[in-house]
Amino acid sequence: MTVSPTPRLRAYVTAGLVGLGAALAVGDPGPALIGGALLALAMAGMIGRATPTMSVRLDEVPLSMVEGAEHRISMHLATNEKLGPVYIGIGLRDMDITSTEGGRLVEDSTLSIDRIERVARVVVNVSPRGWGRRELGPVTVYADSLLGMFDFLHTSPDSEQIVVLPEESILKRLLRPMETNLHIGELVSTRRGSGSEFADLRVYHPGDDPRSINWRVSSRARSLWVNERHPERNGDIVLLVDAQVESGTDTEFVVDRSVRMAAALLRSHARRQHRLGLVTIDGLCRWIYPGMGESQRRRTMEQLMSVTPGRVLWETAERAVMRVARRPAMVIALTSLLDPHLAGLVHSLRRSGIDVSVIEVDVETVLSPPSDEARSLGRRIWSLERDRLRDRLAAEGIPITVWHSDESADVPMARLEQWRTSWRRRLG
Amino acid sequence: MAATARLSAGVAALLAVALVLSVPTAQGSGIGALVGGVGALILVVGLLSGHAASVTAAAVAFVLQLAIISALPVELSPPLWAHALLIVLIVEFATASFAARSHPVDPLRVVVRAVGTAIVVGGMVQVMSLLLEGVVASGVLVRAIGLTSLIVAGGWVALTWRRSSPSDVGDPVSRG
Repeated sequence: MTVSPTPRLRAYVTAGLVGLGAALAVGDPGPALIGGALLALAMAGMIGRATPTMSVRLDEVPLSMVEGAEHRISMHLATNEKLGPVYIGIGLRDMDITSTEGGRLVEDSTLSIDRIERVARVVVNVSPRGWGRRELGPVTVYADSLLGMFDFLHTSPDSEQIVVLPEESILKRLLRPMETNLHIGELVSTRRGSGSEFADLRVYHPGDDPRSINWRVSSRARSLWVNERHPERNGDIVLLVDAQVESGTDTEFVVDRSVRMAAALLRSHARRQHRLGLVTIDGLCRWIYPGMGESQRRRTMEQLMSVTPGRVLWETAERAVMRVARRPAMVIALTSLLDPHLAGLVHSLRRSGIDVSVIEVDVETVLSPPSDEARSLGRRIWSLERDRLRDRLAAEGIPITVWHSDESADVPMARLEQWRTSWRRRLG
Repeated sequence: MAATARLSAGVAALLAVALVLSVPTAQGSGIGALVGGVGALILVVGLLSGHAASVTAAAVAFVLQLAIISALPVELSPPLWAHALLIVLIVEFATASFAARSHPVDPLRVVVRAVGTAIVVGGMVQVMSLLLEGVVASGVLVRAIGLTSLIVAGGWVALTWRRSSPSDVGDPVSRG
């Protein structure tokens, strides 16, 4: 704990000594009386001063939080002597403290404790605002001596990282991957094998499971026939989250919507036992190969929450996407289509035979209206270029839909599924 | 700047101005008012710019103002105890203003501490002045005793101050 004299002590001591000196100089007891009283006050504040030791321990800190939900953080404070009043700065950013136990909230993230009798426990219930990575700490404890002549300050050297996830939202409609992999899941595979969904009948071959013999058909045909079934498999889903932004756009809004949609897709597909992969296309461009399980879900969410809008190195992004998105994965790209590079990337995936769909996050509604004729013309040309980009993707059979700002997350999913169904029918 | 810091600074500045305006200006005692005025000005500038040393400068200026006035044949206004009370209040509120800039402080505690300390110091000064009323203390012996007590007090403060150099002891924060 750092101990430092306050301006109060300096002022009383200096003024006291000056008062005594001045009294001697002018030969009047008045300044000496005031100087003596101020010195006596300073001395009283200095007598018996000891340096207290303090330790602060964060007992209960969740690894991840959900935006808007209430979470509990608890701290344990210990000192070698009684202290009071004590102020504790928790260092919470973008979090609202909803209630406290063992202390009183005095400012944004600072609590006040009237007195610490060697040990104290403080609990704060917090509600995070927005998603992303948050830092808890450093915890700073302020106190002062009895007459306020010394300040005590203890700052914890460490801070804790917390991941705040977007609000829980489960999509009602999800895209069905065209191809499945070999793991058991909820999707009915187009292949034949052991499963519960009836596929076809065929003549019995030696080695077939006797339980698959269709006795009714066999008795009519006077030869053995067996039922063929579709196995239930899961799919590989790879999300591409494009965080490339352009100056002049509301970056928070565009990337925020992409990340919220990606989080909802990850949660919903995880419930259906799909293997999930992620490529975040931002300044760093990181990727996670498709996988299953709780640790995979946490890793993908943590990476998603680390997305930072910025400029993208498209060569690196292309390598990362090609590495992760392999058949039989279904790729869902969440993009604002501000950069034609992503459209090129989607084309490359399509040419590799990968099932890819594009959700375009609408940016035009967040742009400020053009101020003059030239800007208006520029905006129209820009819109036409984007339309051309969209049309080129659609012409190659890549499902693409614009997710408007007033639509729920289920709407673009429904449109994409409709497109994919009609495309499948057209192909026969 | 937090509301408590602004409020404390405002009260300290107002009290400083009030102290300067309340002193007499007749028969050369205007020099005292001038010294006090400079102190008040330093305090105001320090409070605005965040220089904590201005509290010390102002306190010294107010004590010097009193010394100048008491050396002249004019009636002391405000009385000695009020002078002490005002100096303590100014120092307390100005210090609270600086404290509130680094961390939140309870406004009620600031007021209670400032008023309580000021009353104690004012009362002490008044009691001592009543006890010493009529006592004539002059001559070489008195000056020698005064000088000795000044040196002893200064030395003691310096020694204690040196012992109270900043230290850092304690355990780091750790997840339990």
